[in-house]
This record gives sequence, C-alpha cells and structure tokens, in this order.
Amino acid sequence: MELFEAWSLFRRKHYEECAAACTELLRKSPLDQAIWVLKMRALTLQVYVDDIEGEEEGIAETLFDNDTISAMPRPGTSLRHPGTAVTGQGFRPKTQSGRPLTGSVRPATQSALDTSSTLEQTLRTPRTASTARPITAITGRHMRLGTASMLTEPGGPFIQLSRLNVAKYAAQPTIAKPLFEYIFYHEHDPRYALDLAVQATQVCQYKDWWWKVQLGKCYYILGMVRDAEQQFRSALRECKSIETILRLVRVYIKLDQPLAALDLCKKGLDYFANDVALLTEMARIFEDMNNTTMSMKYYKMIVQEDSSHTEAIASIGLHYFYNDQQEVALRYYRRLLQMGVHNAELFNNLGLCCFYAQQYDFTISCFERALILATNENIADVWYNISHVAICLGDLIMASDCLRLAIDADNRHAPSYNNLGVLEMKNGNIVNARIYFHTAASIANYLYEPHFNSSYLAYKNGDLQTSYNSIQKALNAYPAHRDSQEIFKKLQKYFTFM
Amino acid sequence: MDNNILNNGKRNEQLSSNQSFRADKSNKKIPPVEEKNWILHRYYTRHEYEICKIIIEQELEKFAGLTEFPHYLKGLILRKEGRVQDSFNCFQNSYEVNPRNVNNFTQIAKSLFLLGDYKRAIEIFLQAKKMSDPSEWEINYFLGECYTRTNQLEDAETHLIHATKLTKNENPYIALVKLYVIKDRIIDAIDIYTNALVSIPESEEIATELGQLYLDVGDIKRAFQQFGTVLAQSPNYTKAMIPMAYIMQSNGEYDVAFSKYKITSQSMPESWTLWNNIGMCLYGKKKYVSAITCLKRAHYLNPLALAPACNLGLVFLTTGQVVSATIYLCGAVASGRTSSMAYLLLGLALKRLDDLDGAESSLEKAHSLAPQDPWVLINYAVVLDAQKKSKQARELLVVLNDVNTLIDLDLQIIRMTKQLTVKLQADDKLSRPLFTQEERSFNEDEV
Amino acid sequence: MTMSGRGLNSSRWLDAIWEPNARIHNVPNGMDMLDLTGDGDTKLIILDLGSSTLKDIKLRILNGANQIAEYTMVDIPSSIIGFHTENNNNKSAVLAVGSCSSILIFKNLKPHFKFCLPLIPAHPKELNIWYKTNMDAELNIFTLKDDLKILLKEIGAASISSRTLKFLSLKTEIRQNFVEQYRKLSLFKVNVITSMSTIRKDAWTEIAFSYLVVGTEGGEILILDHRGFLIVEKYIIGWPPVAVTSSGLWAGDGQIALTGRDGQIGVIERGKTLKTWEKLSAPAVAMTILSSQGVAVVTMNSSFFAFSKQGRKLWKVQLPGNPLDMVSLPLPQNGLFLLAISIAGFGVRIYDQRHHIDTIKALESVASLKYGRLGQEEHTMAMITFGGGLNIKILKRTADFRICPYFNNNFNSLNNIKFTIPKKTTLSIEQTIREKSETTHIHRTFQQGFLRLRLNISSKVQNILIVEQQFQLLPLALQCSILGFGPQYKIKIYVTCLLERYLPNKFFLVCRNANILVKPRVITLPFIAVGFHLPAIITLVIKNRIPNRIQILVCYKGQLKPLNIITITLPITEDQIE
Repeated sequence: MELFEAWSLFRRKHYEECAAACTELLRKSPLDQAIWVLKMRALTLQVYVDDIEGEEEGIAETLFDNDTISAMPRPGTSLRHPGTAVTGQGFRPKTQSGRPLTGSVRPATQSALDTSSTLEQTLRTPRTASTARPITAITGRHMRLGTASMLTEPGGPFIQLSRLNVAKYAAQPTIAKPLFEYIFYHEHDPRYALDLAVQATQVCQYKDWWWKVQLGKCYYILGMVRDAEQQFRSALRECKSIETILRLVRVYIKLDQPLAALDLCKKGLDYFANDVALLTEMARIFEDMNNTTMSMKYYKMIVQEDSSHTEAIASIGLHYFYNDQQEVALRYYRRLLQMGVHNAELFNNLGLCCFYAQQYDFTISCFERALILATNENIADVWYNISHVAICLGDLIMASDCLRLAIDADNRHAPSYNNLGVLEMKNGNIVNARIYFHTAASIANYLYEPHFNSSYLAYKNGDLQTSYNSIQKALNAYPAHRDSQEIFKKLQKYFTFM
Repeated sequence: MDNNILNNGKRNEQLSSNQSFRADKSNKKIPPVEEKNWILHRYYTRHEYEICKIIIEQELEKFAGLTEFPHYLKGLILRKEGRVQDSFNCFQNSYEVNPRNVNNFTQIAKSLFLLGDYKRAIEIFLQAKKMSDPSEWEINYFLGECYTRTNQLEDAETHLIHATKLTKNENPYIALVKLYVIKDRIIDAIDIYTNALVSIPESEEIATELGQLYLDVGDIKRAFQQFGTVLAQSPNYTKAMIPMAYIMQSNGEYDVAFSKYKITSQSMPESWTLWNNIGMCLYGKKKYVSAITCLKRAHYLNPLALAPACNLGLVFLTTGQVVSATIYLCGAVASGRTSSMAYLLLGLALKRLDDLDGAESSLEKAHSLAPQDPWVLINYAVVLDAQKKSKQARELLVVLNDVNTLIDLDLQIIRMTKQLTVKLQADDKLSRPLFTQEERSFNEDEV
Repeated sequence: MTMSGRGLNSSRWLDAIWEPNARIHNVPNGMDMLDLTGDGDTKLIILDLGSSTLKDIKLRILNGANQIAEYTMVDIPSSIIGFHTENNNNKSAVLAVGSCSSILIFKNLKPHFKFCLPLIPAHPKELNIWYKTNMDAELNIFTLKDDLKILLKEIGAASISSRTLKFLSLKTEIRQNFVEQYRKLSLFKVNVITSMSTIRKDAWTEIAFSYLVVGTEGGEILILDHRGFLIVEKYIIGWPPVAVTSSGLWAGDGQIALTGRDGQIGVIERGKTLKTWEKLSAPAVAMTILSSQGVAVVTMNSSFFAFSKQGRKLWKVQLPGNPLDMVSLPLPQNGLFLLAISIAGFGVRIYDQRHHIDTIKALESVASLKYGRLGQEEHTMAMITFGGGLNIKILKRTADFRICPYFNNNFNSLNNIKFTIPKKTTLSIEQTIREKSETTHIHRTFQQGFLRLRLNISSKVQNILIVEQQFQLLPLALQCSILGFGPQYKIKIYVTCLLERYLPNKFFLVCRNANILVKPRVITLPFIAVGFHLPAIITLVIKNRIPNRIQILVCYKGQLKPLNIITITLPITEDQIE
C-alpha cells in the first residue's frame, strides 16, 4: 500500500514527497529493489534537465581544444570563419562573436570564438550578466539553479557511488537504466556513469542502442568527442531517434563541421518528416554560417509546423526588420504578443517596427510599455532605441538625454557611447566626442563603428597615428567596410613601407 | 675608382684537396655588420615582421646597437604597426649610428610629422634637403604637407610645385590641389590636375577628382568626359561611377543611371549617398514605393544626413503620407539648419496637417534663408494669405515678379501667382484651396 | 574571383612531385635548375636556410625528389645561380653561391673554388688610430675607445670597419683581449654580397659564356669573369641592390636592371653610369625580365609593374594579396612570354602581359619559385611553400594559354548582380491607406506621446544630474582586464589620457573590497601624455569562493567624492587543475 502511495506520488510528479516516502519505506525494508529504483527515479527526475539545449561552450574548451581543426578552413565550411554575409554589417549589427544578431537568445550563440583572438583577449572580455561566458563549463554544465545537488542530503548521499558494485547492477537491465540516469543527472558523475554504461552494453552484447546513446553522452561530456561520434552513429544505425540525431549534430558542431551536421539533419528529416527540433537545428546552423536566406527558409518551415514556435517567429521577425520590411516584422511580433510573450524586448521591437512601418500612433505607447517592463539588464537597450526615434525626429537634445540614460543604466553600453560621440561631434565638441568613441571602442572591440568614428575624427584633426591605429581595428572588426578602407588607403600613404 | 680592373688574385684561395670551403685560416674573422641586412630586407618585403624583429634584436645585441640598418628597419616596422613614437626612437638610434645618411634624417622628420610636431619636422626636413640629392621629391612633398598644416600656405605651395616637377607620383599633385581648394583657387587646381594627367594618365584617383572639380564649377560636359575616360579605363571604378550616374540622372536618364548604381551597390552597400541617389532615381521613374524603401535605407545608414531625410519628406509628400513626411522633415530641419529646402517642405507638410502657424513660421525661416527662391516665395505667399496676412502676401508677390524678370519661372509658379494675385485683388473669400506640389528633386552628390 | 572548372581540373599543369614534409626554408633567388654534370639531366639546387632564424644552412642538390648531395654552409648565402663557362662546348654548368663576402664555385657537384670580394680599404683616420695602437708599446684601450667613438660620430657607421664596431660594442673587460688579438692584423672593411645574376657575353646560343653580376652592400655592381676571377668592370651605384636582372648581350646592347631597398630602380649599360628611373611606390619584392621589352617588378604594396627598357611604365596591376616571388615563363614555342607571381593566399598566378590567365592553386602560400628545365622535362615549375614543402609541376605540352577563363570574368559578373529592393506587401499598402485617412489623428497621437516621453526623459535626466552632481566627463579612459583563473588574479588597468594637454598628476586610483587581498591599494597616476596608455597592475588574492566584486575608484586630490567608480565582478575561482 505504501509502495503504491509512493508510486502514485511519483506518477503525479510529486517527486520530493515520493522520495521522502521511499526513504521511509527503505528504512523498513532496506533491500527492496523496487523501492530503491523508485527513489532513484524520483531523485533523478527532480533535477532532470534537457541537456541538449542547455549547453554553452566554455572558453577553456574552445581554446584548449584537443581536436585540432585545420587553421584555414575553406570558406563556408566552418563556423569559426563564417562566410561573408549577404548584407553588410551596416544593416545588421554584430554580436561579440561576430555573428549577426539572433532573434532570440539561445545557447551557443556566444560561442565559436574567432581563432585569431588570443587567450588574453578572450579572458579580458568582461563576463557580466549580458555577455557571461564561463571559463570552463564542465563543472556547472547541467546544473539547474537551486537543484538538489547543491544541498547535501541528510545522512549522507543516497547512493555511495564508490561502494557501488557496478558489475552487479549492470547485469540487471531493469535497474541499470534508472541507476545510470541517477548517476548521470543527479550525481553528475560521468565517469561512474560511463563505467556502468560500458559494462551494461557488454551485458546486452552491444545490441541495445539506448546504452550506446548513453555512452556517447558520457564521452561527449568528458570531451572525447570522436568516441561520442562513434557511439551515436552506431546507435543511429540500430534505431533512428530524434534525440540521437540531435546529439550527433552537437558533436559535429563541436567538431566545427556544420556541413556534416546539416547533412545529418537532412537525413533525419527523411525519417521524421518536418520535425521541428531538427528544423530548428538546421535553421540555427545556417544562421551561424551567416546564410540568412537558408536559415529563413527553415524557420518558415518551422512556423508552418508549429505556429507558436517562439524562436522561429522572433528570428523571422528580426530578419524582416533588417530587410526593410518592418510592416511584415510587425505582424510576426504581434503574433508573439498574442502568444502571451510579454517583455520589454518585444515591446521595444514592436515600437521600432511601428515607427519604421509608419504606424506612428502606437510607437510611443509601445516604448512606454517597454520601459515599464524593462529590467536593469535591458532598459539600456530600450533607451538606446528611443534615442533613435528622437534622432529621426531631429530632437538631438532628447536623443542625447536618452543615451545618457542608457549609459546610466548600463555603463558598458557601447553603442550608446558611440552615438553620444557622434552627437557631440555634430555639436563641435571634439574632445568629448573623442572620449566617447574611445570608451565605446574599449568596451566593445567587436564593433567597427566606434573605431571608424574615432579614426575619422583623428584624421580630420591631423592626429594620423591614432587614426591609423583605430582604422586598423575597424577593419579588423569589419574588413569589407568601404569607408574604413578608404581612410586606410589615405593613411597608408604616410605609413608607407619606406 | 680610377681603374676598373682591380687586382684581386692575391686573396683568392685555391681549395685544398679536402674539398670543403671550411678551410678558413683564422677564426679571427669578424663577421661584417651588414651580413644579415639582405635577409632582413627580404623578410620585410614578404611582410614577415615577427621573424624580422627577432633577427633585428639578435643583431642589435651582437653589436650593442651599433648597426644602422636593423635600427632603421625596426623603425619602419614599428611605424607600420602604428607605434610612431617607438619608431621615432629607432630612427634616432640609426641616426646616432650613422649621422651621414639622409634617410635617417627624413625618417625622423616623417615621424615628427606623423606625431603632429610640424615645426620640428620642417626644421629637419630643411636640413635633410640640404644633404640630399636635388632630384629627391619626397622631402619637398612632406615640407608642403607640413606647411599646409601649419597654415603657411605660400611656402607649402612653393614646395609642392617643386615636388610635382620632380616626380610622377600622384601624392604631391593631390596635396597641391587640396591646398588650392582651401584657397578657393579652383581654376588653378583644375590646371594642376590636367597637367598631372599628362604625366600620369593612368591615375584613376586624379582623373576622378578632376571630374569632381569640373562638377563643382558647373562644367558638366567636361566632368562627364572626365568620368567617362576613367570608366573606359577601369569600368568598375566606383568613385567615378556615382558622379557619372548622378550626371545622367540629372539629365533624366534614369535607367542608365540606375544600372550604374546597381553595379556600385555591390562594392559599397553601406553608402548612404548611393542609396539616396538610387531612391531619387526611382522617384524620377515615379516608382514611389521602392523609392521610399531606398531612401529609408539611406536614412537608416545616416540618420543625421540632410539629403535622405529631406528627400524622404519630399517623396512622402508626393504620396500623400503627410505624417511620415513631417517626421522626416523635422529631422531634416534639425540636421541642416541652413537648408531652405527642408524648411519649405516642412512648411508644406504642416500646412497639409492644418497647422498653419507652424507652416508660417517654417516658411518664414525658409524665406529668410533664401529670399529670392520663387518656390519659397509663392508658397509663403499662399500660407500668408490663408493666415489672412494679405499685405505681406502682396509684398512677396512683388518680389516674385522681380525674380520673374530675371529668370524664367516654372509654369506652375506663374499659374499660381496669377491665381493668387486675382484672389488677393478680389479680396473676397474664395475658398478654393491652393496647393502647390514641390517637384524639384534634391540630389546629393557624393561627398 | 572564383575559378571556373576549366582552369582547375583540366589544368595546364601536371603534378610531378609534392613533398609536403621536405622541410626546406627558402627565399627567392635561392633555387636553380642546372645540369651540373653535363649528362643532360638537370638537377634542382636549393639553398635551404634551415629555419627562419637562419640556423643550419645547407645547400641541397636534388634529383627529382631524391637528395643526391648536401653541403653545410658557414655563412648565410644570399643567392645562388648557375652559368656556363664556355660557348657551346661544355654542357655542364657551374654553380655560384654568393655567401657573405665570398662566392663559392661548384663544379661537377663538387666545391671548386672560393672567390673573395676585394676588401674595402678602411677610412684613413680609422687606419691611423689602429696604427697608433699597434705602435704604442702600452695599450690604452680607453683612449682607443674615445678616439674611435669620436670617429664614429664624425664619419658614421657605414664607413667604419666591423672591427671597430665590434670593439665598441664589447664590454670593457674583454676589450683588452680583443685588441691584443686583432691589432696586428691589417684593417679592412668587408663587403657583403646582396644579390647576383648573370649576363651573356656575346652569344645567344643555348650554352653561352656568361659573366657573373654581383651586387654588394657597399653599393656596387661588379661584373666578374670566372676565368681567373677578374673583376672586369665595376659600377658605383650608391645603394645596395636587392635584386638584379639582366637582358641582352653584355658585349652588345646588354642591360642590367637593379632595384634597391627604398624602391630605387634603374639600369646599367656597358660603360655607362647608372640611369635611375622614377622611384617605386614601395620596395620591390621580386624583379624579373619581361621578354625583350623590359623588366617586371612586384612591390610590397601588392602592385605589379612593368617597365620598358627606357624606364617608361607600361602597366600597373593591383594584385589581390602580398606578392612573394616572381619568375619569367618564356614559352617560345607558343610565342608567349608569361610571368608567374606567387601571392600569399592566392597560389601562383600566371600573367600574360597584364592579363591574369591561369592560377596554380597551392594549399600553402608559395615562398619561392623557379621555372626551367628539370630532369628531362623542358617546362617545370619548382615551388617551395612556407611550410617547407616542395612542389614540382610540369607544364603540359598541350597547354594552351590562348583560352583564358579570367578574361571575360568581369563582364559576366556584372550581368548577374544580385540587387533586390524588397517589394512592398499589401500590408504596407493597407497601412499607407490608414495613414492617409487618419492623418491628423496619427499625427496628434504621436506628437503628444512624443512630448510626454520627452518630458519624462528630461525629468529623469535631471534626476541623474542631481544624484551625480559632479557628473563630468572623465578626461581619463580606463580599460580593465582580469587575468588569471583564481584564486589569484591580476587586474590590468590601462589608463589613457584623452585631453589635448598633459593630465595633471593629481589623479589616483583606489581599489576597494572587504575580503580580497589587494596590492597595491592606491595607485597615483603620473603625468600622462595624450594617447599614451599607462598600464597599472593590481594583484588580488581571493580569500573565499563567493563571487566577489571589486571597486576601483578614480579620485582627484583635494576632492572628497570619487570621480568615477568602476565595479568589476571577479569570475568564480576555477578548481585547481590537478
């Protein structure tokens, strides 16, 4: 009866109570395997996370990568040197890692370091809330905030891993699987999990694809990417499952082989036609490769399958916005609003779309709503965008007020510093403008605008050295920028080879 | 050397039978300081600066800095990296080692020039000039640049003219023209470039700038010829392509201009002038919707520029989207406080929003900026009439009549003037709305 | 520019040898193809500089991919070249290696002779000083040092012997010894070979007697007759030539073109002084002859020039990248004279006059090139890559350079330009209609809202200003970076002055935090010049593992409130790596 009660609690997803009940039962009959397994399941599911999505590559992994990747990949075959975008950066801003802005924040948009950057440079980039990138992600990769793993259990851990007879349990398939998940998700000990998986898969004579996937997971987490690839591939031969495909895709991305990943997704789509998870994966890869057209195609397919897929809608909206079709973008953002998304970013985007799509009467109220909903992290962006509207209307005082507010909210908001500099320059305040550009440039080395502006300013004032150095940084951030090239050419005359 | 044939047999060593070159008799040979100069220069020309620097440091250590070329080359590399102060120190070192080399002088002076210390740069350049070969043009050129920056334009002119006589390099010509443009001597500038093209016919930059100068003085035919020559030479030279297309556009050849812009857009997709011109080209072809898209792109790329904002206002007025027009014209007015065009358009927009007070003050401003402009005059008069200030309106019409005697006015203006005159004379409340449509397109030439 | 399939796959070149791990470090002028033994089998001779820092220099002689001989070099040879010693008679060529101040001659794969460049007599004053030292019974190195130093100031290092320079660069303790060792020897200044070439004397036959043309650091061109090694002629040019090429017959209209380190370029004809042309816009990387027309030069600023014999510029072509080497490709059977230019990142491009007609793709950038007869093959191209690989390709007999896929490329690309202006949808038309119909309403709502927002913003800004009464722009820019994995960190702060004038030295930085050991806590900033980056380093040790923050205050002496506060969040300490 009590066992049934615990089972019922488990079914109703009251995992904590269930675990408590099991603890109680185990005290009475410590060797009851059924209860033991149930408690294991309960504890596991308490902390279970979707580990496919929750991944962010750490700096250490990226830079100290063991898998050597050819230093000069052909264009379009690598995520580290994405091919040139169709539209220039002048139209769509760039993030720190050199990708165009994505429609929604998702894992791994900040990864893929430029291999040319040095370790020091990478470590120097600040790790604040908005740009945080852990130095190494291994320790905390699958941790959910406030999870049980942080709390020590009274009376010692439930299962003493060091005393576990792995061979014994591996032989019992009914216990082995829950035990594995417990070790993997609850104890975060991939080494023990691997040990168990290796033995279990031997027991079933390498026939159970489930164990292969688990092996792959362990290898992947331990950084043995090539081994993981083998396991996943072998698992896929036996049983096609979306999870396995997604995991293998992750492996390819880690190995920086986006084309292989895309190929795999396409094959996967033959079995699981129009699967949203696979389509999303493809859309993201294309986006990371700066292939907006293809990315849009897949996002549109996703929306047809799942008309409330937030990421796809947001991405499409963003694409239309930067492609001069703000009224279409507006429609997509409205859709998000209908779906119940209610945050500052959305209202901010709505406001901008309204303004550019000539729906002026809604513009201001959207921005006001955005300001109300904004948190400390994103209010600077809202102010920044309002300043744009003010600039369009020619109200430069208000524009600079907005930018000041943006900086007040986030004193590392580089675009605001830059624009403030431009406004100061227009007012003839050369010294202030220079300070602003310099600040913006030192905060956001990856933006070309501040570098270009300070170079331009210095060039006009005859400070050729500063101009020369800044323009090189600008060209570094955006090699195809025509105006920068122009100034650089002029300066090269003075810094010639002779 | 008086004799060409030198006796040098004594020093030659016939090799002994061990067939090796190692048989150098003494270990006392001191390697010459210049031993590695050639390889340093070789690495330098291949842009292998890091290796270069390593070897330079080795050499400097070996001879305790008493070698000239490594110092000199280090200076060049550091300057290339933008570290002018450091490179200046290097050149000073190489000067210390060999004060007889003019190059050391000129490099020190160049460094001072780059650091902005023009006075000292001039001193040293003058000193170097005395030492150097009289056919050396670079010193004169840099002297010219220095004098231009210290505002001693006469001296600058002399030196630059001197430099142009010595070389076929385009730099002194360009600097000289810049100087003439500052002094507003456009005719002289054109002369210089024309001369320059005789000796350097392949310079696209000079040919294009000459075209630009012709355009500035209003000699459209010559300008057109000039751009045509450049494009014949290198068909993808965008700097000549845009003004060329601009000239075609102002002659109403929108399709040709458009195809030129299309080519240009490949290499400079972020140029707001380009998108502005494309927008106005489409406007000329009466494709208003596309024109708006392009102008908006131009405005997005540079929201502070006058031309796109003003043109957007114009197009929106044409399509009857008055609110949009007002918004962009507000921006235009703020960015170009001396543009009567922006104020005129804003006045018209406000009038259509029934904001007659606003329209009046805007047109008043436009009138004060361009008191002779017939479009401003007629529109101002119409608004004043609507505000029931007929006396002032009449005065404006008088001015307009004066203007009419000087230049041929647009038919539309004449018609309107007549109507308004009749209306004012009748002085009754004929409530027929009088509207004028601005049609002058506003093209911005490349900056 | 993309390569059309035709150019690549139906390539005009056959792969003969690709040895990626040959480990050869080579620079232009360091390769030649010679029939050293006279058996009609041409060998490849490569000067291997060992490593980029010039250790372990070897002369390698290869037959195909196999090395058949190797010689270790003591000095650093600047160029190698082969030439014939007799007209039409002896097929075997002689190899000359220009190495420091001597030319090493190899015959029949064997070292044969070493020719030393004539020594330059030392400056009389210098000679005098050393002579006195030699005469003096008692050696006084201090007066010697002073005398030499004064001399150095007076005449400059360029005219002083390396003995003096070495002496001056030595430490005082070992000077005595040095002088003892050298003062008895005669004092000379040693010349260094910078470049070499050959020029035919009087015959156009395949095998013809040639003179060696040698350029020296002292700024001379020497014409050498190998028989008895006489310097036949000597020309003073005043600057060290970096590249020398020759055309024609020296006895006839022969011309030697040369270029210098600062972009000087000019020609020498027999019996005449150097005629200089207009300076190049950048130093030359490589120079070669251009059939009978003149010379071709590639320069550091990625330009490719051709000059006529009279020095008239024939054309200028902008290259896509930095050129590394250039060789001539004479193809008399096709009536062509092509040029091959190795460009960093773009392989080797073949040019017919100014037109780019073919590309040899290479995985790595090619460091040096040589074209000629190798083995039994008439038209081979030897390439050495930056990674040290050896690549030899043979031009197909059927190769036809008249079909040039690149020629029409520009015109094609113009026709398929992607140029799209997004079409306006019905949506936008609806909106336009709405805007037109509700003009005043939209205008009013927007303007009212805008004014409201504006008011709101003004009051907010006012609030900020009250809070930060001393809100003023800092004349300093600080750039902080955290280094380290913890628990020890370093914070590097770059302080940059942004004012026109000097910054007064009244600024100081204070670091504030409770549970971190900070050293130093206060940094006083000195005078900082404009644009100068002053680095300041703070060392931190974190005591516990809670995420920490540190504040850096920028203060001004005599002012209570800090001018600016920078908060840095320290990353969580990494686990110690075992």
